[in-house]
Amino acid sequence: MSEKSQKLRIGIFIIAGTLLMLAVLFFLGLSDMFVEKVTLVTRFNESVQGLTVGSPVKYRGVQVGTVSKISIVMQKKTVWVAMEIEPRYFRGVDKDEFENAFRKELANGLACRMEFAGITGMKFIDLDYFSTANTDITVPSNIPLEEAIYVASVPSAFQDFSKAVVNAMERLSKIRFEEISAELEQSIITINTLLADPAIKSTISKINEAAENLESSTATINQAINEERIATMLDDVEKNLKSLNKLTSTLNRTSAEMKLPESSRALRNAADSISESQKDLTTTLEKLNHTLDSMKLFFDYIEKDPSSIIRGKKPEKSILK
Amino acid sequence: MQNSKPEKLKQTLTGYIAQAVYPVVFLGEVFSAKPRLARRKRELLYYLDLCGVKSLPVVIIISLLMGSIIAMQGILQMRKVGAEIFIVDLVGFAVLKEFGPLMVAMISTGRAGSAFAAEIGTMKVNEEIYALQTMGVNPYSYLVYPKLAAMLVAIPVLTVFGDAFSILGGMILSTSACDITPAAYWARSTAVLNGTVFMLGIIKSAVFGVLITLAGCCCGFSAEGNAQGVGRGATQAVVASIFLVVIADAVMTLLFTFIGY
Repeated sequence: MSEKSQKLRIGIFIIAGTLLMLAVLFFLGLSDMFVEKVTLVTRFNESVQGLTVGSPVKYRGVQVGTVSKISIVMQKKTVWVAMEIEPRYFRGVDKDEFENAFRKELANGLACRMEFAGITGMKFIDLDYFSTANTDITVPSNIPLEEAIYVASVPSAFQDFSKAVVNAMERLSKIRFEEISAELEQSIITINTLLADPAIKSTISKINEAAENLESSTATINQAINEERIATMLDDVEKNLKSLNKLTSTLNRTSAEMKLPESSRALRNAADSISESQKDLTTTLEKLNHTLDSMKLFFDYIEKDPSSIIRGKKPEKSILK
Repeated sequence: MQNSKPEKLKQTLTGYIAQAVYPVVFLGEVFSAKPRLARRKRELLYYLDLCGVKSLPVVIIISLLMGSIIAMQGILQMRKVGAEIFIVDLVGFAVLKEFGPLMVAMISTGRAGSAFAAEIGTMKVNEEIYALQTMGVNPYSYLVYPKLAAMLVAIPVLTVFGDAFSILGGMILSTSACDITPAAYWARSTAVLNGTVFMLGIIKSAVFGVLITLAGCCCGFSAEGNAQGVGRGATQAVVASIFLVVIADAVMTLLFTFIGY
């Protein structure tokens, strides 16, 4: 291998490597040096967690720049955020007049708001025309970057949500978990003691037996009342119902033919007659009874004095005598 | 006459201490010697060819595959949360900050580090180094500096190629396995990566190059005995280089993290 070709290879290697490095550097940052940028500044009265230097700045969803600086003013509890946006994204606006055009849009209600960039918790700044009536667009006197354009900020949508979460957490913290836990533990102990009672155990065993019996009964019933049998029974029931229907219709017809009012009147008269006959019979029986008594007296007298049949009844002695 | 036990122990201990201290002595020798690179252009070109040009195909293939592997693993995890676009961030930062310089250093350890140790070890065994010293030539200047200079140039250039082809590998796999278009991948890469991260990776690779060269040369100079000693020296050079590279990587990663990168 000649020395010349070796030098050529090395030369190509070094030149290609250097060019590649410059190209990578250009695309990964050096190109930004040649891009014109406008600095915006805003302040937030809320937490900016998730917003970092380099976070995107979007105008109606289009990334037009990045966050360049974040600083805190402790006395006022506010966070100042500086952003750099690139006028090249705004078509139809001359670069020299961009600042004036942007200020006009600010007067028309353009403001910024923090939004979540995804599920990772990272945030971006959204420039848009928000319909919040109480947006304060007056430029504060203490802007950290004097040459920067002040953009009013609108409270983020998740601020209310986070407040609600904080409230919920506060309420949760007020719940006396320890007491509840102690009570729960006591209840469990009581339940365990109760379950350990022999009476409960015997009850449970009885319930088990009953359940077994019920199960076997059910099985027997199931066995006894099978589908075929039910079908037969239903046939019988149907036949019986038909017979009953016939009987009912026959009864109706018969009852109609029987002339019940007349029959009942005759029956009532017959009952009255029987009642009267019963009274007569009672009188007759009483008279017969008297007769029998008289006859008994007669026969007793004859028995005492048989000659009385011939002589007649002796006259009764007078008491006066 | 046989040596007594205390004397043997003393000799063994002295040997261990000398072995432990030798890298420090070696460093002192190297940095006290004059580079005189102008007189060693031929060797410089030889080592540039060996460590740079001839390593390039391996670096390109391994980097392409490495980028693809990182992207593949990223896709498998990111797909679960529908965040496939973040594969670009994963591949970009992993390659520029860690895998690019590290993979090139590993390849160079295998190719250059062991070659340096074997070369110097053979010279030492053949008493060529003593011959150089006899002729009044500083062997450290004569043998170490051309290698060091070549590695200082070759390794960063190889890292540039490695970074570029790793990102390309990640892009090829991401665009074929996901709905990410090459344009979206490129736009995301240029949006999230920056020149500083890239340059810190290059600085890392230069440090790795110095460490690999010094470890290889040191193990070569400490080789003793015969051909087996040369083999042991080459093996030792690879182990020491990998160890030093990983330690240096950890230290530099911590350092760069402290300064915000």
